[in-house]
Amino acid sequence: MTRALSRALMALACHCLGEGRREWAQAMQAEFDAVAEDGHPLSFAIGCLWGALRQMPVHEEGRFVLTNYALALVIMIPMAAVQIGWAVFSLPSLFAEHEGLRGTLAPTQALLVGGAYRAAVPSLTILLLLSGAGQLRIAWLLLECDWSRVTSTGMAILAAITTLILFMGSVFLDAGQAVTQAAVLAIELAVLAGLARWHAELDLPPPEPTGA
Amino acid sequence: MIRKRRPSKQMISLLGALSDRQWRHGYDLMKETGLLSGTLYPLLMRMTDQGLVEAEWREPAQAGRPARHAYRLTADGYALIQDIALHDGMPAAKAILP
Repeated sequence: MTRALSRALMALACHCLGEGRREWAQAMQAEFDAVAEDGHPLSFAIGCLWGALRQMPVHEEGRFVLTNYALALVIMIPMAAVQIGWAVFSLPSLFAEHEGLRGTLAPTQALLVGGAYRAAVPSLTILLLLSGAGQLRIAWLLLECDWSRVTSTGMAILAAITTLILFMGSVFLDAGQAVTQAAVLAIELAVLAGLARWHAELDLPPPEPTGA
Repeated sequence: MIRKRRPSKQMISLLGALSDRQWRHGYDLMKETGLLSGTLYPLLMRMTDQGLVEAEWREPAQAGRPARHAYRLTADGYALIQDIALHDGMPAAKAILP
């Protein structure tokens, strides 16, 4: 158990050191095997992780990785939570009796618009849930620096939100929240484009070949 | 070589452990200096970047073991510790010089 935990911490430490310090990560890993035989793997692994974390702000690759994590934790994941929350709690009740749109429309209007709205709610809810899941996917892909998938997922979410805005406008629903989400998403995509450019400019050694 | 900052106690301790200019493994250095891995490796990285220490992969003494990184002082590293001992009068540095 201790050994497995130590190995996991070592893997995390090596990851934190990044490509620019790959040789040092291999050196620590090789030393870990010697330390583990001597019976102190956990304290060694904790120390390596602590050292690697302290090194991150020092070099540019570390700052880049920290920025990615900050963006994922501060923007992507909260955005995903907002979209999923909206899909589950808010969207189905937008047309509610008295408190929602229905309260402000004449009975004949409510009858016409209400049917279309009720028919569309399941699809719109699924669309929003998929957008939320897409935000989580972007957060993950961002940490892996998979920029082509980040772009395609971002565009898919933007298309979903645009569809939502158009539909809500056509049935006279308040699309303010959807417009705000689209604006945040546009800013998010611009920031991601900047990060992709920063990643391309980092002077990193080529990735190690995998397999035999 | 221009030294801008006074070396830390940990750095002097590490310079002392490496002063025999033999190749040493990280774990041996930890045991000798009492430094923890979280202090030793960032220090070794910085000193290698500054050209005070050189690192090399060394084949293990016993067959079947993985290669390990070993470290030793460069000429600049040795000059630094002499400089510290002669000019700053640090007892710790003086003690490690022959």
